[in-house]
Amino acid sequence: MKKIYIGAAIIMVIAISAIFAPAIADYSPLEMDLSPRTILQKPSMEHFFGTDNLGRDVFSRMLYGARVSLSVGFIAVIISLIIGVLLGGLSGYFGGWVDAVIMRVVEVMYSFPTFFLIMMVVTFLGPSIVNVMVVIGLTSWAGLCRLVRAEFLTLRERDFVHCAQVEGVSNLRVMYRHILPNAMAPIYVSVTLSVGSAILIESALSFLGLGVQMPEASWGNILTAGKNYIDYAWWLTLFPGLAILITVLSFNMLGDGLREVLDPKAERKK
Amino acid sequence: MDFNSEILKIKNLTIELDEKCVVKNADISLKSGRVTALVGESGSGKTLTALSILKLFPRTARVEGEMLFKGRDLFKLPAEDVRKIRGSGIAMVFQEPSTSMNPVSSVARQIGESIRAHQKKTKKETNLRILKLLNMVKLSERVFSNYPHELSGGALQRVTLAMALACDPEVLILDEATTALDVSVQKEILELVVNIQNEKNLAILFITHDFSIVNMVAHNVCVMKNGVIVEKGTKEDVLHSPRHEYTRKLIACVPKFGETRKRLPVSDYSNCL
Amino acid sequence: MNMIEVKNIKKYFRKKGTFFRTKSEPVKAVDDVSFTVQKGRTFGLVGESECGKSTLAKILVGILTPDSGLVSIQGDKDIVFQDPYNSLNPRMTAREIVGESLFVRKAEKKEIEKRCRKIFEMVNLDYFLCKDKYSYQFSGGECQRIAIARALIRNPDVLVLDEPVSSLDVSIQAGILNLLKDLQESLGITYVFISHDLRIVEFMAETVGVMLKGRFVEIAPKDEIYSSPKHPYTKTLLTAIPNK
Repeated sequence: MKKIYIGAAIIMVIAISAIFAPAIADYSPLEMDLSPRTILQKPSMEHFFGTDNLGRDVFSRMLYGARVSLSVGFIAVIISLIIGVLLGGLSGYFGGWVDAVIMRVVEVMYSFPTFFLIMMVVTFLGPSIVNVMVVIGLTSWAGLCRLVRAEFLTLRERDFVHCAQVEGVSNLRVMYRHILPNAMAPIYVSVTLSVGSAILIESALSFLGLGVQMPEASWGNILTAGKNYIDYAWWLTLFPGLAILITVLSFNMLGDGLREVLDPKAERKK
Repeated sequence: MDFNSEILKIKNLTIELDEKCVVKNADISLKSGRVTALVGESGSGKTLTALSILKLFPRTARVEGEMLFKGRDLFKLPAEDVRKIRGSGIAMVFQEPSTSMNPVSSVARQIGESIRAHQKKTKKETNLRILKLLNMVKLSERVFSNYPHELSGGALQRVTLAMALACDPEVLILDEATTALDVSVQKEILELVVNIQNEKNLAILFITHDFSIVNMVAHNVCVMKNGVIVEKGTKEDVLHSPRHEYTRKLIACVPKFGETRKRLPVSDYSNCL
Repeated sequence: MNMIEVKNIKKYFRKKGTFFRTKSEPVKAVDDVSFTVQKGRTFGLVGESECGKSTLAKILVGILTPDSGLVSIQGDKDIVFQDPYNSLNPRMTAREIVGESLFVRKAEKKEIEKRCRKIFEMVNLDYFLCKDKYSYQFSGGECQRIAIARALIRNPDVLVLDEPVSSLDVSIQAGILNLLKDLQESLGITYVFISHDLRIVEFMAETVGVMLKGRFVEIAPKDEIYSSPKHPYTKTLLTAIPNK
């Protein structure tokens, strides 16, 4: 239980910081100041997280970067959720050739090194935050699809589903009203964990210059600048690194905690 | 042990689970060569009572009372002594044979485990004993190397019976041991149990909800409702002249063979919210 | 008049051949079964485990289609299963479950409410206490009543009951059996009552069919089956009843 609270609390903090970034940040994330007194400054009262090589305030950039990370995380996951649940549901419920076709596609997706696929597509389409969101969403639905399929396969054999079918409830309604609500537990867990994964991918892409482009701020591209100054300006790698770590960890804790709470064995206890 | 001498006495057993009293002041006496039936519906506390004989109740349960096996109170014995008695002094057969057995272990191995847990025997002696036990439960020797999934429900239950009898226990507890079996198989197992009991002079506690089984195998009956024993006596007394209303209700509400009643006697459609 | 007519239905299940084994014999779950049931009567189906009775039940209501043969039922049909908790959607309230079949037929909300109240009353459940509760909040007997209510709300002509009381305590069982008899009297439903328990089948049915390995070994009026069984398997079943 504690995991859920801690994870959720941290995510709330990050989300609020992201939403209210303009109010919290003292500086604009784009504001450069190339004077030697301002560039590559250590963390101080004026610049909580220091400045980067172009004199930009790292703390402000981190706040705006949070927006990027969270929005990519959520939207990418929503896309993969829709595709995964739809295809998994159809696959598990109907079986037969529908299942065969969808599963072959899933297998193809699994055999691709996803990250390289994403890199290629983003390079091809041009790097932008929207492209990143969409591509991550379009390439990470396979795991959820399998989960949902497994749930639908077991649930469709349950007596209450048979009863609904006998009473003339349409297949569509059986799927969304009767089966899906009972299949949510693994979906909740998978979705929470996927957000963490999506954030990691976005950070990596931005780090490589394929995601959010300079001068826009993303945790990943703060690291890009930071990699050249690791031995001197440690704050440029520490803070974004920690941020990514803590965010992904919180989502994992949330997902793990949810999994424990939603364990079917616990559900069956009256 | 002599015939009809008291070998196990459950005295004033009270079990509390989750703040609820699930067994209250239960008093049951088991005698050698006699079958005592413990009858009750779900939630009556009968299984918990049986499990408590071997101290197998859940850890969160609060238990009071005495469990006298041949004069010694099992509740006061150290864990190691109780472990020695489990299987060799008192043995248990459960309802669902498929879950009582390890699916990846052969029949011989599992029966052998019971033997090895309590007796020092060479491999040859153990195998001989296993074959003898299989014979006792009327299974062919081929079953020796079978795995649980290869056997029918009835055969599996015979195997669990063999496992229970492996170390010559003096008390045998059967918890709804025939409920999950087909009717035809049930009868065979019941007859087998009666035969073995006569041979070995066992004291048997037979838990069931079915009075016709009670009629077939039991000598004494205890009827349990909501954790309390509401009626106790010999089979003839309890079945033919039940004193407690609950016992009467239980007996009456099962359709009898050659049933002429159009309605079963239930005062209302019990359990309305 | 014949409410249910079943002619020569077969349902075989093929075991998929594995890499090392050639395809084995198909499992003959239902192997050439025929029987008829008259309106308002109860056909009792007796059989032990794996005899095909559940497969037959599913074929009767259309969950499975037979490989060959004909099933003709005059009117609406519904089914009640053995496990009361499994038959109810754990995420729907009692009212939603019972009203679902009317809801999908676009009945008006008021009409659904009215009929729900009536059917709850008929199965002896307090509508206002029960309607917003979930299956885990009910006892086995109550769940089975809800399942019966769900099945009967549309007034089907035929109700298939697959071991409807086997999971219930005997005292609850008696209440449900009485209820089923009462409902048959007042609504005129035709039942197919499946059970492994001969005593219950004798209590409920007029005609009894004994099933073994997918086939009927004997079909006869109740009195005949119980007093002068012809097939050896029927005789075995009868003698196996503890102390009849």
